[in-house]
Amino acid sequence: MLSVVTSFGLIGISGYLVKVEIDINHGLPSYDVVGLADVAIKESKQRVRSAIKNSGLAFPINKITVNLAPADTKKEGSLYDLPIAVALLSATGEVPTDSVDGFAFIGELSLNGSVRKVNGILPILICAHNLGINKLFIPYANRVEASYIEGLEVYAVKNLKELVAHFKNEKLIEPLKHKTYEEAKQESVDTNDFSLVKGQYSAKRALEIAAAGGHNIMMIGPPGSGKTMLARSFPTILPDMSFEEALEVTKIHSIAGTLDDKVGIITKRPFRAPHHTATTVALTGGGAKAKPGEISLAHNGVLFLDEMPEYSRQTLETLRQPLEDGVITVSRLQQTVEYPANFTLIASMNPCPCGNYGSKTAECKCTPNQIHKYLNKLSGPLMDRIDLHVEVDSITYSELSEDIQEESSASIKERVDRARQIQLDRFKGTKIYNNAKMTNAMVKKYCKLDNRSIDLLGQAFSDLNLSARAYNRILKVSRTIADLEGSKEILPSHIMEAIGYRSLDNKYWV
Amino acid sequence: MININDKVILWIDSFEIPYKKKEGLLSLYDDKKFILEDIRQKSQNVVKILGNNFDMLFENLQTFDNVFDVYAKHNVKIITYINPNYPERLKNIDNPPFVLYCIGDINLLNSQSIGIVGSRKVTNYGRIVTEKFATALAKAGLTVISGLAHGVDSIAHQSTLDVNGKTIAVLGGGFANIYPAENYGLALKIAKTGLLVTEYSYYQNNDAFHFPLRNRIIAGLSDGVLITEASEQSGTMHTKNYAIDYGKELYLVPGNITSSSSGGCNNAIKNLQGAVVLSPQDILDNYNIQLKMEDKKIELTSDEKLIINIIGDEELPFQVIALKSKLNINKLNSLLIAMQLKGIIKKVAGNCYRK
Repeated sequence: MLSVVTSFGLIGISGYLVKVEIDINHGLPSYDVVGLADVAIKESKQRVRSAIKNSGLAFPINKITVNLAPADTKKEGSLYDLPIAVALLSATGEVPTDSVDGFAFIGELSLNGSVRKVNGILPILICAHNLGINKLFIPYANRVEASYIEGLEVYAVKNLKELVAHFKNEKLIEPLKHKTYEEAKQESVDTNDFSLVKGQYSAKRALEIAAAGGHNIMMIGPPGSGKTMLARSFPTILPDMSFEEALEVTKIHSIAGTLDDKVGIITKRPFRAPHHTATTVALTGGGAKAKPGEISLAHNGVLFLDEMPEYSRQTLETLRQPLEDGVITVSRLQQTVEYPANFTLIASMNPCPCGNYGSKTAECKCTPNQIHKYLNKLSGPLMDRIDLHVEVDSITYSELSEDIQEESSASIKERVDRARQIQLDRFKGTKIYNNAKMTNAMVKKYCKLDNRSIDLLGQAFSDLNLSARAYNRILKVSRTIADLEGSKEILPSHIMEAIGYRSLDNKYWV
Repeated sequence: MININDKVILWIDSFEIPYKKKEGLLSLYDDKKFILEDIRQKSQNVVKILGNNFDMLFENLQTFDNVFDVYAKHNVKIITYINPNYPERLKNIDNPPFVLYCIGDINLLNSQSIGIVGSRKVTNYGRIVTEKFATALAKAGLTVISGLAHGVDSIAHQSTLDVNGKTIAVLGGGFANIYPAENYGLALKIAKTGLLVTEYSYYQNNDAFHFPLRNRIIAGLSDGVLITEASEQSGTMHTKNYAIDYGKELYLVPGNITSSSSGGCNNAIKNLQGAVVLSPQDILDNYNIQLKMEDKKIELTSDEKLIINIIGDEELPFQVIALKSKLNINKLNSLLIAMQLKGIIKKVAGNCYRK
């Protein structure tokens, strides 16, 4: 008896169609899986057999051949357990053969016949939708993630028994209710807010500019000054994600298995803060299965590198290409995968190894050489991609206790949203969405200065010891500042403020 | 071209043999070229003075012809102790160098001068004080002498250059090895308008023991020595002792008694009463120079006046200025930069501003 069932596989963040074919022949009892299956799939034999038996169904004692087509693509993971079991049952007639046509199946089986959660459901659903396969059976545990794609009929199964009953028309499973993105958005609450950070006006303003123009930012300040808290609040002033953006982010997290089961879709821009011992592969993605790394998990959101000079130099240098292109290509022996990695980089560092340089209360114990070494850990090309440097004030107790109502994230976000809209209109028809990503030609076109501003800039370069590479950065940042104010022209005051955000170029320390 | 006597001194100075032996050898003859002749003939009195170093000189006799080439190529001026340009005041120190290797304006060697030295590690206070004194003294026409090290030395050089003053940097190694390497750019600037001096031949390294010796030249070349900030362990204390030994005026800037960075200065003040200076004019009094009051008036806007009033004589963090001025943050940001460009205020480490 031959039986064919539809399922899906994953390459990177996109799914592809897999046909699970089963042939049951007379001969010595055996069970073979062909079609470049990995060990997890080969082991499915034991799970499928036990699951079928423990569900009170018959497992054939014949020569069984399983083929996963296309046969030349490497397949991995446990998500073929369910389609293999269904194919077997339809081949043996336990479920009516015709009834499974037009359905796709994804899921891992447990020995007792229940269906377990798998990673990467969302990209599979999107692929199914594109291919016109509209009816799918997925694990019950994945149900929330699966309820956001419109036009799909998705059934969440708890166990094999339930599935068989459904196909025998004994007890039907209800398809999942469609949930809208708006509903999901309301479910998630932010615990961070800028109003919770006292003082730090210059840092907050710089973060506002970074959010408005999509600029990368470096915060410099002594330990305990609130750099991390500021960074964590940063996503709250970023513009909301569109549904498409949210889907793309959720896809990546779905594959990585970092998705929250209860919400099922990521509505807030992700915030990733890998520890400084993170390896290059952890950051960029890779490993035997070419998994997405931290920079892809931060896609459309924020990558926060606390204590940036403590990361290994090699790891930091790998960020250069994704910072420029917004994607990372991970090449491994068996596959080459391109993951999106379009994030805002927030880096933080101390002014010196001990952290007290410039502090009013504590004495710095570092030698000039140590400080030079510390600052030099960040290479020029990498620093080139960071538009804003801002110093964070160290907080003293009296300032903390001052009773001043701080501005909330929501009101900052309004200004950011307005500035972003101006940029979207400006770059309409191009592949660029914010000021930070402007090409040199665009900088020339959109960042025209009047004579007074040019003079000021020239004076700033000589007086404040700015390095030449700061030039374009300053122009881009001043464009954003002008956008925040709703000004068409870049005024001298905008240029001045932008100059202030180059403190690492302005080498007044050491 | 270099004359033969200078060349002999240069040749002998290029060997790393003890100072006493060089001194003995050079004092043998008024006409130095006979030294070469005597070495060639293994004359007894030369062998006696040089002892175990004799062979080294004898074997390297052929290098004599080319010894000047590297200096000619790099525009290094050679001033030996018999040269009329050799500064008189340097002859009064212990072990005056036989040769001064110079790049730049050698007239500065005999100008009215002040040594400004201090720790390599500076606090904000040390930076402000050094800038203030170096700027004022350079403007008053004194040549500022220092050692091109990190910290106070670099600040003294840089502040002098900023007001187009004259400065001398005394190095602790040959010109091929400018140390610290970060100050290479600064050294180039000094060579243009000021003077680089060293007693070490072109390729010599910056050995650790060179620096205390270098300090004796700083003290020797200066009419007075100003220490702006130095801890007790600082190498600057050598310069202080040399200055006292050579009878130079010593000027010390007091510091916070809780700050270890000023420990050296404060202790010296305790021991040497009267050396304390509080303003550049205190030093200039000894040179009989009256500091001209700056009559350059800068027009201030009302916002700028407000900021100046808030900052006063203090060093204030950004957020305090923001709270007190009640200005918009974006406005304040650009205002502070504008004021920096006008030279009314300065930004210092820790996101703080001062006048």
